Amino acid sequence: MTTNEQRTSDELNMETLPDATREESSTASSAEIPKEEDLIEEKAKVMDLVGHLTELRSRLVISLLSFMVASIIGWFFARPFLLYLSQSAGRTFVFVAPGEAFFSLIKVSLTIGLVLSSPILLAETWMFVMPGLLPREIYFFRRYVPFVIALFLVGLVFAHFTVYPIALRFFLGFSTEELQARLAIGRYLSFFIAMHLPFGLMFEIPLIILALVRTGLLNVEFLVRQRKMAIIFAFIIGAILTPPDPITQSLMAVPMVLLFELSIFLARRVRPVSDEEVEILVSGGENE
Amino acid sequence: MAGFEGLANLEIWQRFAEIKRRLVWSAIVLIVMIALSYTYTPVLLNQISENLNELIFLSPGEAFFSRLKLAVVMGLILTAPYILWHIWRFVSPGLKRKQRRSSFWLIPISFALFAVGASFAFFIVAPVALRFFMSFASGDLEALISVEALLNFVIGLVVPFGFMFEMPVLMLFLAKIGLIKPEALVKNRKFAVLIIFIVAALLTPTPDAISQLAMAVPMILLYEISVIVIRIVWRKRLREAAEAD
Repeated sequence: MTTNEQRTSDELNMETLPDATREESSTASSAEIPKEEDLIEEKAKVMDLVGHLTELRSRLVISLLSFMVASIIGWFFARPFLLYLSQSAGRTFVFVAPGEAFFSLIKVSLTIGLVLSSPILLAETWMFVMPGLLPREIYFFRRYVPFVIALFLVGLVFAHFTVYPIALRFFLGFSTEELQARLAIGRYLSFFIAMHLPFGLMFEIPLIILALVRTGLLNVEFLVRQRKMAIIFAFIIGAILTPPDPITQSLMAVPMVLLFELSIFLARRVRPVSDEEVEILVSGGENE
Repeated sequence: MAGFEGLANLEIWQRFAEIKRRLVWSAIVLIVMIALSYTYTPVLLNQISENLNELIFLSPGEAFFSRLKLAVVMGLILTAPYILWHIWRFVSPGLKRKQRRSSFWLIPISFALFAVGASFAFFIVAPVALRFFMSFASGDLEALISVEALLNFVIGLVVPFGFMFEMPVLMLFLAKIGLIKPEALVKNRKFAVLIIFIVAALLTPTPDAISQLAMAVPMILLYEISVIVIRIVWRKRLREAAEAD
């Protein structure tokens, strides 16, 4: 191990990275991250401003092209997706403004395009940013970004299979003979997004809390002491981010409180980074 | 000194009285035109919703206020030449005879161009765009268009098209006062086309390429026509200048 050697931060030599880090990073980076050898090559080149701008241009072109192609593919899935939505709602949709149907389909295909091309977009962003990062920063990104993405996806899946059907059944339960539900597609898409996206973000809470505990900005006692406040905030956030009714508010707030409890549970098993570890991390990206 | 002030005051009060008289007449004619247009709104609505199976309204006041809105827009368009005539009558005593002669034609020409642009939008662009949008209706996605959304869409096409078609008048005016030369117009054609496309994207109610193209292509044609007209005007001006020498 070469950790005790004092190295300056700008000496970006990847070969001095400890073996443990390298192993972990190569497992964490399957498709998105280039191979270690490529990284070393990239680092060896010191680019001037024009070189960076040229690289930025080619990466932007690749990103935009892949987004466009993915969106065109998405256009063919937009109709089936709407069909799926209308089945989940148990009703056919209407559109009340002339352009509403067309632009809803465009919106859906762009979203599908964004999802499909997101690996390429993330990889391009990473490859552009990475050469400018310190080894320890690269180590942090590789360690935590997969968790960020995974938690976001878990949140979406959770919302889709619990919150979305419950909220839908609750709201559509108010339709009667005299009060027919005629769902306008534009508003339904907004509802669909409002029932999913906040939950993806919400599931990042444990990661954020754990990161704060690790850096020593928060400690477990504080979290336990402020539990009441956390619950109130969960309900306030739930009221703001969802339609103004107690059902969807609770559907958002209760999982948020559970996630908070999970964070406390996990935070007890995590200790803040000690001074020595900080020293090691600053000097070269050592694993603990 | 005192007499001079009194004279100035007198003239200013006369001017104010004139403005008041012209404003009152404009307002009366505007109200009459709006009322007249209101009785014709069902005809217009029928024409607009020709390609739709049904038209609904979603809030209690929507049907009435939509008709009112349509009537106000129609009334404003119909009264515009009368108001412009009043403005011209008010301003023209301050113009030289030659200026008066050349500027009088601005009113009918600008109104005619507005009418052409608005009719083009109303009779060609709006139906084509509507048919395109309606083609996305299907069994699981029914068209149930609300009258307010439909009118916003149509008015959002008609009014910008009318104003965009005024471009030749503006260019002619700028050429007459010597601000732009025909050579500059030809040289900067590339930029003109770019600007036309950007403005068309901003002014059309829906962010789709079809209505943008429907506005941009006629604008480019109008641009070319204006260039020709301005060339003629410019040549005449040069000839006159030569004769004066």
